[in-house]
Amino acid sequence: MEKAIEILNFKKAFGKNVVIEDLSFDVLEGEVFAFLGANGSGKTTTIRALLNIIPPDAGTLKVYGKKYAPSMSSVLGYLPEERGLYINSKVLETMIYMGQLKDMSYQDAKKNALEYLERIDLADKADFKIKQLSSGQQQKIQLGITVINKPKLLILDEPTKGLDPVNRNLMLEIFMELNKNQQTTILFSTHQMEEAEKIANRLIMIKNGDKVLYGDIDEVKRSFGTNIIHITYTGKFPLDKDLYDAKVETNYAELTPKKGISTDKIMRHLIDSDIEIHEFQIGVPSLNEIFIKVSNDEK
Amino acid sequence: MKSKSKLLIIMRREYLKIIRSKTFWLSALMIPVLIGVIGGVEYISGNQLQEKLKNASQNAKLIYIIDDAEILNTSLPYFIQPQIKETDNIGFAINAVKNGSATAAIHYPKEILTSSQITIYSIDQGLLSRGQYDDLATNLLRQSILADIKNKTKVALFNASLSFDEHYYANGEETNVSLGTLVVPFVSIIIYFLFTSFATNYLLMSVSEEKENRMIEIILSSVSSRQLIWGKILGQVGVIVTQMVILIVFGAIAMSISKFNLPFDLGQIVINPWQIILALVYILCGFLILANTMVGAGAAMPNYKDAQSFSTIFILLSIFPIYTAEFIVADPNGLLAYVLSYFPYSAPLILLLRNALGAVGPVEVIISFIVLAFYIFITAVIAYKLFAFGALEYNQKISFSNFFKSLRIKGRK
Repeated sequence: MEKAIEILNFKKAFGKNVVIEDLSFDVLEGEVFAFLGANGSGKTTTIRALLNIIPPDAGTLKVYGKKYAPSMSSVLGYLPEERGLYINSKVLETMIYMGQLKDMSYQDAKKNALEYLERIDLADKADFKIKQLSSGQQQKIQLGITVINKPKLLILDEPTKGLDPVNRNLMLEIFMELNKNQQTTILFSTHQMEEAEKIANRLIMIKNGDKVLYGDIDEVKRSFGTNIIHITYTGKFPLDKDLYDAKVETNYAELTPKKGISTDKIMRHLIDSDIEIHEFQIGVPSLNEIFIKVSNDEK
Repeated sequence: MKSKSKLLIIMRREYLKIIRSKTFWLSALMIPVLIGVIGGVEYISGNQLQEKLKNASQNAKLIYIIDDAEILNTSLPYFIQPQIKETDNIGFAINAVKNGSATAAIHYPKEILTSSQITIYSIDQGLLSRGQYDDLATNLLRQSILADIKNKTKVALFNASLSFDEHYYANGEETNVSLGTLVVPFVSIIIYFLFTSFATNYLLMSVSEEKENRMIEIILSSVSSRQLIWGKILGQVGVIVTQMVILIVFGAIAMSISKFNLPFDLGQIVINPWQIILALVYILCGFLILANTMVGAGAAMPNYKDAQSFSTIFILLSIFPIYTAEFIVADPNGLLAYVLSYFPYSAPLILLLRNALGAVGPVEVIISFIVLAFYIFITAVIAYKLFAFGALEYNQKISFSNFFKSLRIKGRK
């Protein structure tokens, strides 16, 4: 696969504060790539430098093999973290304007805008002023502006920030549709590990300006694999100190087998107990656990 | 679609956004209406005051005339009026005014030929009524003196409203002194003020709006800073042109339906192409210097309110030279005129004024172009740098140290 994004030895500091030390990674065409990191880790800075909105101190950042320029906006959909709308303008008018700035004709921009509004059930609000919409509706319009040109590359900086679970799912569905139907490459930054786990193929995690995780999601998870058993259940969880050490929460437990005790033996023991097992996984931690572990390790 | 079209798209949006706003139409229509109302009120109140003063003397109950100088001619029509009476007792006349039985007493003292002074005693009817008997006292005296002149033609000439045929010369050639010569300079100064006060304010609002609405980052991923800035500037130019058209239309309507006469024939308007070109260049330069400043101010401040406070100083610097107009007109080639002609924010208006007075020679025109081009370049560079640096500073002002840092940034175009 070709590289949609290529970042090599990127460095950026603001005064004495070095935000990114030496960052290199690629995003391949057609993949969904999660960009993870804690607040202030440099995700937004990297995205801004990639889109040439701020200059890098060192390194090369390329989009489809070239330094990004606004003349390439027809292939890009960008949803920044600091995002807003012209609140005094009308919905359709704003979407068409933004489409035109991405090199679309008035007619195409209008057609795509109306299609999108139909898709998110806001077609009846096309002639409303944006300030008349609810916060959730405004966020959907922001996404509409981002994808109006049906971009080849979508860069989303914390796209679901501030959304309720229903709208968050709707957004993720739209991203997945674009990825599956149009092979849109997606780079998105997030704090929501379950989102990354749900839609991303690969990921990078940065901490203190450095890359700490990078690669295929399954590979990353496997690399953090252990013999820990993860169980979701209902009922009263049986504690047996001869077989395992248990961290038990309501409906969830993590079991570490005692030395010489096999996973099979523990499973048989649990099946024979009074609990109802809904799900179990051996040794593969969730991205959330990995994120917390890596963050704490770095400390 | 090429990037040139993006400039037009931004320009169109900026133009329509303002033209469609109620605020624009309110201010655009209020200006001519206010000018009309103020002019009308001034005209009516002026007439009313004159009428009031005239009526005051005509409606006076009793006016005593004390002619100690024996200079008045009592056969004049004035003395037929029942409210005017002669007396030789000044004390009695003053008392009559004091107790309100007479409205006024006019005393022509014996020594009037040497002192040229008439004394008037009258009831105080308010500040604006002061001096209301001066005309009556003067006319009584003048008409009495004229009555002794036998030559009727000379009397008619004395009473005639004189007109003047004036001729002025400069550099050995007669100069045109018609009011028509001042029309183009006057209009150009109005246009300058429209650009500096309205367009720059709209521009400031527009740049601040991008930041306040958090749209700047999305926009900058699709267009360059320069396209965005120039699209906004050109949009504002379109707005001012529209505003001028509205003013012209209102002016034409007002002139066609009112009895107001211009103090000169429209055919006398002197069109000097060179002077007009110079005026347009100076207006454009003034606008660009201030527009660049507004872009920088809008980018440096987190919101419109802060940006407006910060930019006031530059707007004042641009319009304050009008207060020196009296000195510039008196001496368009004096030291003050030269100094203000080359100070960044006052230069365009002073050069515009001096151009109107024909005081900017060919060599100075070239120097002024170079100087103004330099100021435009400098303000543009600072504006672009501040925009690149400050556009993403959503919550804080740019400090002086960051301002100087911004000048070293190699941003994209």
